[in-house]
Amino acid sequence: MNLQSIADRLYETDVLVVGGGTAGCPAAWKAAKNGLDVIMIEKNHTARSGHCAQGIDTNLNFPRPGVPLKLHVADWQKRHHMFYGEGKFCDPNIGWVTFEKAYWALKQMEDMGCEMRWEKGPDGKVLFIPNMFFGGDENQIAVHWRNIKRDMYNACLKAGVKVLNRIMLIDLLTENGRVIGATCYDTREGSFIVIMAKVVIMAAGPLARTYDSETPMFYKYKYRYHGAPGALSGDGLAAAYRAGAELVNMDIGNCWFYRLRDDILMPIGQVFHRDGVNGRWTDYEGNQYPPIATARLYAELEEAGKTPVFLSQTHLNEDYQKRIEVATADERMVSLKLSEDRGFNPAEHRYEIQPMHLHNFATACGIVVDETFESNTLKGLFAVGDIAAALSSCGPAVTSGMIVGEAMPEYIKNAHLDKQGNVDMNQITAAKAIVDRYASTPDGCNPIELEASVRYISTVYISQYKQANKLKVGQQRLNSLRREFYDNMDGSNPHHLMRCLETRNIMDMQQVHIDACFSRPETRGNYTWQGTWERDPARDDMLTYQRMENGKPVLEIRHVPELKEKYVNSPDDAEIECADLYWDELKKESERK
Amino acid sequence: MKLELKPGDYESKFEFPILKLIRQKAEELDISYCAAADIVVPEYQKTVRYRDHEFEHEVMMSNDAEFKQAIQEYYERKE
Repeated sequence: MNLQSIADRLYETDVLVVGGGTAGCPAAWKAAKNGLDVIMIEKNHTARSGHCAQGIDTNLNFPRPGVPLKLHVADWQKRHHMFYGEGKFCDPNIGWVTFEKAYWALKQMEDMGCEMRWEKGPDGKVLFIPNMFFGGDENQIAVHWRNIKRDMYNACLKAGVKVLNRIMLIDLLTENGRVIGATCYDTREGSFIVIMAKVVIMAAGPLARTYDSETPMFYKYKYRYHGAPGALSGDGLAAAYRAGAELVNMDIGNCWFYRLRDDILMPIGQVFHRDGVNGRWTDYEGNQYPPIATARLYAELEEAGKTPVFLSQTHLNEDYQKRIEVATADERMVSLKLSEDRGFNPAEHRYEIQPMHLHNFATACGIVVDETFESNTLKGLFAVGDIAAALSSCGPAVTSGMIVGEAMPEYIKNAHLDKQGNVDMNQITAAKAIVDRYASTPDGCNPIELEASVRYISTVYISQYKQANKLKVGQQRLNSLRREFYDNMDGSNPHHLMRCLETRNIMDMQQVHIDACFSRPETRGNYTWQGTWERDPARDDMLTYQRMENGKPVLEIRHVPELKEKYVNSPDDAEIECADLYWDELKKESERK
Repeated sequence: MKLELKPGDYESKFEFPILKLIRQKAEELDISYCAAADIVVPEYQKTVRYRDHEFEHEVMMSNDAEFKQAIQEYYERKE
């Protein structure tokens, strides 16, 4: 059997970018601009996919003038305490590179056609604003509500990137510890695709579908992709892990909540960014309480019979409501109709604070990379954007994508990748067998139902308050689901088959998650181990690393890397590339204050 | 400080202004809601003072002041 006979479509390219989001597009665009053949695959449609597809109002992670980069990096590491608690969770060298190249990437972004200035024109004013969520420093810029994804998509097409929409990654192809391509699936036509590439850039986003979807809250309108079924099933993470890439921090979920009671969490009381409105919470009678809800305060209220408590949006201004309407009408008009039918009135509605749970893996979790964004265990695999450990949000996603795209011609030359790797037909037939198996199992389990069951296990048995017995039961339940249904899902049409592949990835990643949790029977990051309530300070800066070696999972607990000597010893006033183009404005703004 | 709560009024139904406009446009031109939304949404968006920096700052500050007062009142009440 040869490659041509097994693949419905076969491509050869220099660079394969997996995921056409805010990191993937810049990587593809930059590599194509540098003269390489680039193919970008996207499970959805590139013009409308990804976290930034509903527009962005800010872009962050810009170092301030006159502040040494190492202080920015230290602050960046410290900022993660807000989400994860004490200790270090991210490689500072990654932080350094994203700060150092932030203004350069901003310039590239403008070249791509994304309007990043407050005032129109190439010399228009750049508006630096405080990052209200993390507090204080003016390290982000405000931009007009921009759907940068359309701009990026058009730029990619113009640069000659071959964009393949509705194509999903199945598995990576490897040869002697190096990635040489990928197997993919067309989610509309159902065809099996093989793409041979010298380098693969993974930009498939984080994993958000291991837990039940988020509890709806008003401030999440802008962030509703967290619970969106159309994305973030961890396809990139799972494929990279199966191929031998190392993942880190997979014990830590993302949770933007305070703990009020063991089963009740309160969202951090802030409507994001520059909206200018704080979240408020009240008891049933409408009495307001301090913004930082605490377990003690909640206990007092409970004792006084004043619970349940509510989050209120009655104070939000008309513009805020209008913005939500616009975003909703633009994307899912039916939600407005349903809300009306159910008697929802945004000016009066209050949300009861109810049991909430983890919802996402982000920022600290993901593929382990060095400062060139190449995987530390799998050569030729680069990870950019949210899927890479330590990266999160639009700014670092674009920066990492641009850096990798820029470095590709040199990398391919230095690694002597002048011809494609040799294909191991076993890897391709294995991927094809998975597709064929799901396609020929019409009596199998509905993958959508199975996904719900798998996510329920995480919510109930893993969650934020961990316990060995709970985890064991979770593992048993996952085992039984895997045994029954992992190979037995109904993929009788292309959409269902895509969901089968997604559920396969979610199950694999849930196993990684459970393994990671078992490895750390201690209170750590943002979770509590019931019974061992104290943190272990000696292991504060130690992270859990996981990878597959010869088909077996390997787990190591190691120290987070230190900032490299060359960065520690760099001069405090070292020039930051392209900063001059933007700093003038920031300086003026600082002086004004 | 108490948030002002209106009693639930289930007699009059709340309508999202944007949906109302979309319905009207769809009926007027005899087109689908989706096609009408393409016409209505960009126009409606222009009525949002979304990037009025001064305005946002003002609202933020007044909210903040009001909020601090609410907290102060809470602790005074406690004492």
